[in-house]
Amino acid sequence: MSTPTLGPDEKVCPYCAETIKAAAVKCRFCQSDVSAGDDSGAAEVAPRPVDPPKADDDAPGASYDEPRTVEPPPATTVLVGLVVLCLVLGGALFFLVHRSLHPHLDTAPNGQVTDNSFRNAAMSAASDAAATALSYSYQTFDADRKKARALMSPKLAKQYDGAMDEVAAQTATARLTLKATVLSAGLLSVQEHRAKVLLFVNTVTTREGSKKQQLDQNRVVMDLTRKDGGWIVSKMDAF
Amino acid sequence: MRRAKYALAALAGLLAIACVVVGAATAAAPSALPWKSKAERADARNLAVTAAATKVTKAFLDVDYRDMDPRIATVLNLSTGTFKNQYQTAKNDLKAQSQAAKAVASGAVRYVGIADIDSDTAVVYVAADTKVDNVSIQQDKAAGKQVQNRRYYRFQLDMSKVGGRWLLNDLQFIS
Repeated sequence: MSTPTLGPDEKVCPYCAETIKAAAVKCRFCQSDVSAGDDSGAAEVAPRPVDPPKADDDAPGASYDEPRTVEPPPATTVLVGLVVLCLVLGGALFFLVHRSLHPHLDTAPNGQVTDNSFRNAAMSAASDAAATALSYSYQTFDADRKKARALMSPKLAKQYDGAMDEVAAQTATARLTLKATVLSAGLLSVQEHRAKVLLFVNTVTTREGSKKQQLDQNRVVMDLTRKDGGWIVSKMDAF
Repeated sequence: MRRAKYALAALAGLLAIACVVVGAATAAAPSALPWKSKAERADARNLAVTAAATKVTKAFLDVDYRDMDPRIATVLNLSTGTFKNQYQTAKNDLKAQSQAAKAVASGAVRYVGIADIDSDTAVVYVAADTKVDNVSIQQDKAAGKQVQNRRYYRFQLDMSKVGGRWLLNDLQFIS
């Protein structure tokens, strides 16, 4: 058996007796401190000055004798983070711009819908409802009421019933027929679930057997509420 | 090497802040975004037309036989096209009639409804009321008669955008 000879740049760890580099300050086998100050095992090897650490090399264990562990440089992690953030930001901006320019219903931030077909549908519903609610005849009184009630919210339908109860007797006795015609409709406001419409309505009242007619020129503001893809009347005021 | 890492970290931080700012701004107030959507532009147009129709209707209904010239000038300034020509032609008669009747009237716009609108024309309906005073009403009052000094109007206004302003191009009474 031959005793292994130490090279000029080697020494023996005084703690575990393994051969390590002379310049090592820590043993790569037992992790013991073997800096130059520790002379417990330095007798066998001439001390060598340890190279000062480089300014940009402050990783722990930089003076280890063993090869460095290959770690992903921290810069890579930051770069990955940057890329992810860029993607998130880009995606968010795309979403915002797209939503802003192509909302599912053209709607302003204050809730007003500017989509023409939606606005026209609201005006059309208001016109039809006004013509129906303000028209009735002594001959078809109950059917007219039923038809009008179907276009109203429960609360308005109740008010409408009260008003119709008041005119029922006179309508029958005088054999009256009221025919309402909507001349104009304009939107005061329209949101996704409610609308307010200004209507100009002429109502002609005729009495059976009489040639005389009475014309009433009305201005009506109607509130509509969205229901089942259509509109129902929730309020109606003549002023 | 260390400086590069700091720079990257700082950039990442800035991007993260940008994400938060953009997200929060949009969630809280989309109108704060530097661009205007089609709907925002349309809504702004509706508001501008409503304001212009209100203003010109009030001017049109504002009568005071003692000081008609500035009132007529205001209406002309707020109108264009057909209406402006008609009003220009009729202004002397209008002034004479108001003076003869000693007419005083002030209007209040109740509602303005937009029926149709595009980038430079609009059709709106206006419900307006006026309180009127004139020689005839004074005579009826003196005679102890019941007087009706309120007038209720239904107008159709055709508005046109000229030089960035919405102006009255035509006015019709709906009867």
